Amino acid sequence: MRTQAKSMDNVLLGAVIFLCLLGVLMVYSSSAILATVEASSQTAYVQSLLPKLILGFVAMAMLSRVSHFRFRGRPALWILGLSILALILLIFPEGFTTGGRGTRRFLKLGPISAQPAEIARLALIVFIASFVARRDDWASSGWRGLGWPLLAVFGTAGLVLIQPNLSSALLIVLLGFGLLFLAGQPIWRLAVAAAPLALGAFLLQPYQLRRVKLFLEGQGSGDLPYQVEQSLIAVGSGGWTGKGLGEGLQKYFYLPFPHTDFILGVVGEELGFIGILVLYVLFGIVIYRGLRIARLAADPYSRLLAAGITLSLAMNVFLHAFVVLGMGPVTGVPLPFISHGGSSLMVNLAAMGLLLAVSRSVRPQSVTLRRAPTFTRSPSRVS
Amino acid sequence: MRPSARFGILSGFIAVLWIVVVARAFQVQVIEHDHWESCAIQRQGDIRPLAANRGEIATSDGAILAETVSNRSLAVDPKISKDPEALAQALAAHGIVDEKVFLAQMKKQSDRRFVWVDRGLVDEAAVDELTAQFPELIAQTEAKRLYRRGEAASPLVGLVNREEEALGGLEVMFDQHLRGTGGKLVEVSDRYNDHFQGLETYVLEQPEPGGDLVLAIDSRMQEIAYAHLSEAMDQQEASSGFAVVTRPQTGEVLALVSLPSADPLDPSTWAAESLKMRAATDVFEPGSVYKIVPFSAALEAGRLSAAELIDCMDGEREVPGGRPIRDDHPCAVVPAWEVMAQSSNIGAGLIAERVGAEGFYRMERAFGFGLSSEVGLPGEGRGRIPEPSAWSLRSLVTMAFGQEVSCTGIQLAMSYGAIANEGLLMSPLLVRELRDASGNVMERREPAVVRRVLRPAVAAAMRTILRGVVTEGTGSAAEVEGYGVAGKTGTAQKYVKELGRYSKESYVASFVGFAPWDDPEVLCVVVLDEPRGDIYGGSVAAPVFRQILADVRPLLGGGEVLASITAPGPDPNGDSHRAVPEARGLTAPSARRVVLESELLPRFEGEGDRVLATRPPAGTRLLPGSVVTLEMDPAAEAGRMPDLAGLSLRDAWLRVDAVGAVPEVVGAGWVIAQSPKAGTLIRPGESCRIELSAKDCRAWKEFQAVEERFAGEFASGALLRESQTPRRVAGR
Repeated sequence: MRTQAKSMDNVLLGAVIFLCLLGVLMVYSSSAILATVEASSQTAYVQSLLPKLILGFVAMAMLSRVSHFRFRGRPALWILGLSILALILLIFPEGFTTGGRGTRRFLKLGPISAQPAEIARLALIVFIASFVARRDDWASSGWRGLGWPLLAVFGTAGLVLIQPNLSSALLIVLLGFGLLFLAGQPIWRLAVAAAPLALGAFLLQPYQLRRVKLFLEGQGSGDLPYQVEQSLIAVGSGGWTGKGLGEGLQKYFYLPFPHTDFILGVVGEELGFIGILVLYVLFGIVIYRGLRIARLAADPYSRLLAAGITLSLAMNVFLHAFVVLGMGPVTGVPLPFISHGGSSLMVNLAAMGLLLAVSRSVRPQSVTLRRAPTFTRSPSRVS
Repeated sequence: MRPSARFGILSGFIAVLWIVVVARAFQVQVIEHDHWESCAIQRQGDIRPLAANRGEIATSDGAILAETVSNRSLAVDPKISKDPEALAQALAAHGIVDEKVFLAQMKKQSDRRFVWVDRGLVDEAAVDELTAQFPELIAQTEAKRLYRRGEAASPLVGLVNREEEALGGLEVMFDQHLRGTGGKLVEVSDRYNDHFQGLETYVLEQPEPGGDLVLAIDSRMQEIAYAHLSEAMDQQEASSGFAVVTRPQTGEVLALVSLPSADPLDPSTWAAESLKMRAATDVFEPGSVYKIVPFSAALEAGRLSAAELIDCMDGEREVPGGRPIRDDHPCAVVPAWEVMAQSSNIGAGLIAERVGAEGFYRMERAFGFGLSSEVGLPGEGRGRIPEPSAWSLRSLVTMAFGQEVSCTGIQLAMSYGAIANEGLLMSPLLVRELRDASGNVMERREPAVVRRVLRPAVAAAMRTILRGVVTEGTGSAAEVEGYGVAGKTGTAQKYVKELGRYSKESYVASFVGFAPWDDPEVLCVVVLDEPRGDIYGGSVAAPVFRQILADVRPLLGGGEVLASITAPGPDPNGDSHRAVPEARGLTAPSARRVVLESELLPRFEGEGDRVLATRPPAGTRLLPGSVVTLEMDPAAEAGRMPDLAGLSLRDAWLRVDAVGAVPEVVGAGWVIAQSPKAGTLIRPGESCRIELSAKDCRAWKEFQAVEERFAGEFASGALLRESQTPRRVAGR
């Protein structure tokens, strides 16, 4: 049943390692000023990131070594359950939560703090892939087959929403529906399932509404919100080749969150259009390889797992760029591997580990020219 | 829809997103780069102006009147100053500050970050030494404007204050040219200007240095004119004054001095009054210097002959609509040139009446009065020349001697220049060249003729008439030995608006003239406003004119050097003072001669043949050009026919008049024959015959020369037309 390839996808691995190195550089450059003022050490942010980077690599290595089928079924449910529990714990502020700009996004257990939302998203992918692949005829099983996945999606998203973190919640919903769409669920049914979201818009917080309004009003009027303007100044002043690593000026408190939500602005300013192009070529390689792994995967579980991980990554990569380049409302979306943020980095590396594990299971390269199999085909029918 | 197709849709969607992101990055970073770059500068940086180096103002002889040099300035950051006492001592030791004042200032502004210590230090070494010793000192390089000729040129050149604003003169008029284009300096600091300052400093726009000016001014002549004028100002206690020196053939302005003037080194003197170039800004009633207008108009129209006899009504003429017109030097019947020489207001009025209002007005306009001369200085006046329709019954007569009209000094210089320059009115040429910062000539200004005012013959006749003012008239103090000055004095009463009449205390004393009179190479206007004591143009302004011309003369190309370059101006030790000569008992002509020989000005008072007394008495030491009043003895020689031989008509008339005889005059000029003979008893009322001829005198010969030179020009009115018998015969 398992087709073990000799090697995993090294192009993907190379691109991820390259992105992580670029990330360390950019976190250092973008946070140095903030760190000087906050901690009187330029490297404070990088130092806090490095152990997590190492942990992330360890996780990636381990996950790429073990079979991703280990998480199928019951383990998937457990992981999802635990991360939902963590999200629930965030509701109770005392003891468990920490920082996050007036929101409760970090769970603090002893010395370790983590963002459960990041973990929950990966858990959701594993859960949906696992759940959908359980039955060959899931796509035609009607509302019964859709119930649990929808509950998981809305439940997770709902808990993230009350942190409050609207953008993460929306990403989770989008990711869930994307996976269900890929799994072959009829579109009309997904549309009906998504209808309640429209009602949810009424529950938006004032500041969230204002951001959306600002974005919509800003289009065409030339009157940009401060953050967007500063971000565009950063990117735009970089020009073709940028001002050089560390030479950016927007990080001197002009650009908000230069090391996280607007790190692409620093990249654009210091490394220029060439820098952004290189960065997005690397992301393109990762996404392309991820989609390729999914396309070549032998079974629906592997396929959905690979596609989900890739889709999740792609959503972050593009939404971050949309915010920084002034094409979307301002939301706090980190850029995978590049932005500062331990949980995000570790979860992303872990996800890459899973993706690499899937890549090891795909058929040899020689058959890649053949027509890709469908996701609904039973794994047993593949030799 | 097959799931693989869905996979394809998703892949395609992601590909589109990728392209959108990269395209947008390209748009923002490459296409809109300049826009965001400028936004970045505005948001991040303090944009500071970077002053361009202001251009030079140079003179025709290569001197530099104004230039900008780099200058070190010192400032202090009191907040980080550890030992203000030591700093104050060190600064005081270099003579930069007063120790106590500086300490007090430091105390007062102890929480400020930037306080100027001195903004004008030139001693580089001191600055370097101090900044090395005291880290709280901030040395800056600043541009400093230097005015090398100080007060001599400040109303002409103007000034620039520390804020780089032009305050007057050429600095204002050519501000755009001199200023150049300022650059921009960007100093980037963090958003809150708190933790990181001066992250980056770069020149956003390079300043473009300003261009230079080259003037027609000769700096040496400027200094000469300034020296003599300011000396006279002090002596005469005049409230203001100015002098203009020009080259009449080209209209080049060689010197332009105005007083009081600002000291460029002392901002407290920078009042607008001291930065005015009065020759251009101040309009004043010119007085007698304006008599060139009626003379020129009448000569040009052929209605006057220079030798023609004019009855000057013994110095008093009733004119409708006001007080009678009086002459300072009463004349009876004199040739026209004597009218000018003796500056008879009545005679000038009579001559003006010959051409009428229209003819007079046309000549005023032709000379450029009432129009801006466009010399190119701020606030230039036009003067007021009313149209004939606005005139009163007496306007023509009073305008003939320069009342009811006003003009500027530049206008006077240019109008006399037309007489000196064969009748061509030139445009004043003050700025010769505009150059760019690298010295390339951008614009060169050439002498420009405005219009022909007089025929060359009339101009020559006018020069001869004006020469008479110096040789025989009120302007004798203007003569430069061996140079041949021609010109006109002016003593204008100032009109007092509040009183509605002319003042009896305030005068404007002026002299306008040129030399040599028959081939002028230099022209000068000297005007002193409200001199105290002496008021006459002939005694106040003419000596200044003489001093300026005597010193300027050797500097003019081609002029023979005669007088010493140093001014023969009065010496406080009294060496240059002139003693009033003994004139008692002398006849009027001889008395006048001896007084003039002493470089003093005779002024006759009373009727009579011989001098009864002089005021001040003989032997008194006076400044050259001072007036000596000669009291005439009315009792002298009554009842006997006086000896009139060689006398001017005026003098002869006065003598005959004194014995009560009625003269019958034939001819013009000087007495060549009389009947009855001298010494013959004559009854009052009895007529006597005086025969005059001008043929032997200077003026006659000169006019003859003019007539020969311009044969045919004077068809309708020869200069030496035989005079009619005066219309009025008899005494008072």
